[in-house]
Amino acid sequence: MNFNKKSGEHNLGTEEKQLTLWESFLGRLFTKSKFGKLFIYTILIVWSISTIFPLLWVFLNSFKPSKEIITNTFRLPADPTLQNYLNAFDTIDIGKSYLNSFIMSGSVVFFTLFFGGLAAFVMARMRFRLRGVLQTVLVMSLLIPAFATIVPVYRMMIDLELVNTYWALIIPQTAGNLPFAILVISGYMATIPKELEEASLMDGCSRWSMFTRVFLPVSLPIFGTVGTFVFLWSYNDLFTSLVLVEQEQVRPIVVLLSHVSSQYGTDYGLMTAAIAMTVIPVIVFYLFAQKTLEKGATSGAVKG
Amino acid sequence: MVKKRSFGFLVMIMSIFLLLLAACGDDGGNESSGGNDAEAKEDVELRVVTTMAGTDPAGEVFETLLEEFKKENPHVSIVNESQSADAGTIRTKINTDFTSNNEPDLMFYFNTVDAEGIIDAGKVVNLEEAEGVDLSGYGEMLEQQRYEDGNLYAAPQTGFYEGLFVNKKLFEEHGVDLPTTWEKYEEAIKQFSETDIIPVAASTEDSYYVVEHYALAAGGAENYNATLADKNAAWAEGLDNIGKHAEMGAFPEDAGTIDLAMASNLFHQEQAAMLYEGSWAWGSIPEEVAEHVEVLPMPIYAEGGSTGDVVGGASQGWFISTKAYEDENKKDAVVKLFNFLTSEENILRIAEATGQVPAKGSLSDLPENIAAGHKMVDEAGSVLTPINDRILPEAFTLIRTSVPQIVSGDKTGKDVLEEAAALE
Amino acid sequence: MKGDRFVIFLFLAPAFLISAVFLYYPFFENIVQSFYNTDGFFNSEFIGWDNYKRLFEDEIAIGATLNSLELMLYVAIFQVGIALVLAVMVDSIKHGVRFFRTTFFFPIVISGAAIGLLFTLIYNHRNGLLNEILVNLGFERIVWLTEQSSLYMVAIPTIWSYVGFYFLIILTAIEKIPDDFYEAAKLEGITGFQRMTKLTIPLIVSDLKTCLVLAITGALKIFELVYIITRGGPARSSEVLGTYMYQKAFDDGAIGYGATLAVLMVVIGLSLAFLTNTFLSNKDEVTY
Repeated sequence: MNFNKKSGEHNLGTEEKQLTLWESFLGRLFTKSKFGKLFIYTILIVWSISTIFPLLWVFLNSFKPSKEIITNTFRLPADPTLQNYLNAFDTIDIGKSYLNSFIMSGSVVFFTLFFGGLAAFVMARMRFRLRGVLQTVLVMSLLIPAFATIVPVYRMMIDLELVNTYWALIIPQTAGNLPFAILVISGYMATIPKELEEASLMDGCSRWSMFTRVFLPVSLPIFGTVGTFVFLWSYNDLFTSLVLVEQEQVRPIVVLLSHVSSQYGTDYGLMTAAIAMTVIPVIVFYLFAQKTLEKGATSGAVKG
Repeated sequence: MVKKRSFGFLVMIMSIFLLLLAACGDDGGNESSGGNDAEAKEDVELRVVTTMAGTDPAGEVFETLLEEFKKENPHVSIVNESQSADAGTIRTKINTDFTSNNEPDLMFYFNTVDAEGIIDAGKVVNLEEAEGVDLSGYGEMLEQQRYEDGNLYAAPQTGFYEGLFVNKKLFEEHGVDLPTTWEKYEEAIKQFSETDIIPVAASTEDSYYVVEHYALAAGGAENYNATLADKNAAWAEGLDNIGKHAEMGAFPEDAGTIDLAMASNLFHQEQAAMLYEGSWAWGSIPEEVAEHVEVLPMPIYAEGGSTGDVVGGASQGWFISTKAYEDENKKDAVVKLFNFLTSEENILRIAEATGQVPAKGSLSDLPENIAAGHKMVDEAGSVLTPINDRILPEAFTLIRTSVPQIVSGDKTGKDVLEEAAALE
Repeated sequence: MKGDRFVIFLFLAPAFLISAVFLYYPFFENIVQSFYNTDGFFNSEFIGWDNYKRLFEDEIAIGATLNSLELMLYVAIFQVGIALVLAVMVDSIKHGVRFFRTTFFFPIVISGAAIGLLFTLIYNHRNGLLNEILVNLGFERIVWLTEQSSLYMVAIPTIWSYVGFYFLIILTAIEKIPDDFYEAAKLEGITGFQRMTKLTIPLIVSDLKTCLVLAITGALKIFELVYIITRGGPARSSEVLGTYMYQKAFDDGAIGYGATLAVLMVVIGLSLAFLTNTFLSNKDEVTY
């Protein structure tokens, strides 16, 4: 087993004796000692309680009448009601909106991963003159706020007669998410062992098949992770949706959230119900897709 | 093995999306392009944009009205692109539509500084000269919509008023006089601040109505109607009064960070005795509280001012786009729809749902407190346009968001007005 | 390799073409707008560099920039730091991995509006959770959002809600390290904390760099939570570039000046990302 460092060849074994007290303390935590394991589990469980809390809060409150959400937000519903959900069903065609959401956000994920994956492969594994420039451009794209681009994009969509079609959302969201996807995937691909690349070269693979047969399968977990986030951002993007796909037959589920407030006030009950209804399918889908994201998929491939 | 299965899973999911996309993308496309090149003369498609959507109680009535209209006029189909004004995208959408030759045929939009550009560009019809448009039956509210060039571009639906909402029960329980004069108002602040009750439920940052009413109190109607460039001394005094009252404990401790909704909530829970709001606020006050809530006109202490003048009007109106009016196919239909929606009967139906003051006719059988509000407007010496509807939005935001700095003593009302005027 | 230039072009073209048309071109329009006094629609007047001059004299903009930078520092250190620690911990355990990777992810799934409301209700003076606890314990109510504390108080939910994001990226990266590396390291006597510093971190350094770049750029765009929890207040003590720009572009319809703020954001972000990259440049990069 080789540890190739670009600078300075260390023998990893020799520095062991120079541990500081702090290091050896941490060292003990991460070893198999019972105390260390307990400590790790405690921290993880505390953190996960903090992250489960808001979800629980949303669900519990979605069964309360609107005003109780502000007055008794951290208690169990005194008199559980389904009224908020009924109201949600009233304001929007739920089934159709779910379908619209999944079609549009699913397509955004597909196109982002497909085009982003190809670009990331080149950015990570090939040297060429404009690489540095493109890298800068990518970082810059991450900084462009959606408010700054929405008007020109909307104008283009009007010209292309795409407003209130699925493409009106898919195209700009794909464009908006590509830089993120390329950066993260190429960051991941950058540290894939050289031997793998060389082996496939010797097999006479073309670049395309090197991508599909070696890099794509090895990077599948990061594709899964990136895809998950892209899906979420696209799915939760109320702002762009309201401008580009507001009409009844194409609007996504998140538009429901814009229905919770008007000049007559905010209906917090409807809001929590709407959030619960947008969140549930995502969590179910995420649980379902977990296998794709897990370790087994990659270590097998790398070894092979 | 694992590798293959999960890869297959991903591919499967993606192909499903593609299939769905291919299947559904088509009909989406057809429906939207149908409107642009409607060849058949009889069939007309009208695009309507309003803010009556979501939890806006008018939304449901509006939908019903459209259905009724379609039933009577089977050749007209209507695309309703309403969205809640609170979502913050409606201005972007409307403005872009109008500059991209994609304007809606009929819209219910803010006839304030927001519409100036659209009107100046000749994109909407002068209603008084438009053939077939029926403006009969309107009262004073229509006149208020007149643009600075003397023409009428928007027809109001309902009007609103702003005022000082007071919880009479709390006043009685604590033996405090209702704030019918400025002295009594200050006295009420003083007395409530010594109790557990917050005198005024307000946000000092999200402080539209507070700023407007304090300026009115200090200046009366005449000074209230001043322009920003005047840097009116009464406005500055009003702002300084907010600072003074904050020191007396008039507002919640965290008034600088809560929004109006959170502040109003203190009033709804009867933890605060007074609230500056608009007539739309009635809907969110819990019934059992609303029973003993009354709205009062701002007590004005300025010389020459008279208590009873109220801030109000009709911020929104119906506009017909020039493009639709000049389109032979659409002209009749859009005028007909306009007349239908602004008929007395239908204006009343919408007003009934929202409790606002109708622009035509009047509502009977109103709950007592809402009727009192309508009466307050009827009896008002003058109804004043809100400051933020007529000055540069940037300037008003600066004034409003600077209030916490006046409260903390970092700035004076005069400083703030000067900064704001410099923006114009 | 033969034909590589063609391949490079072919692979990059679709991604950059889409971005160019629907991201870079609109942003170019945005830059153009920053030279106008405009509401973006009907009223437009070319004013040259005036918006930029205004920017440098605008106390609110300067304050917002400093707040954004401070927030960015916390975000970069704690978001990525906590995420790294959690990821290493989760990687080191046998049971419950799936549970943790699911639950840590929850705050990202829920929209910012809900998280914002939740924290508003926690901090609220009169009826908030924290003060209710204090009152029940017999203490006085505290104003949690003061001019001194507000930035920290919004930093907490901001950091907390996005730790899961970096956690997932880092965990995915750690998991790509083949098991036999660890076995080999074990044979050489490297375990525990050393394994983390000498093996794990060097092997995912390019992913960590990506995370830092994402954290820096993401921090500049922070908007929703701050807007809901403090509205930038009190007295602008927690105003950040995102909230100020939103106010200009949407509350005020001052698209021209809003565009100038967007340009400022991109310039700051680019320079910082560039610095990060130089600092963490390939010196310690390890391939295997």
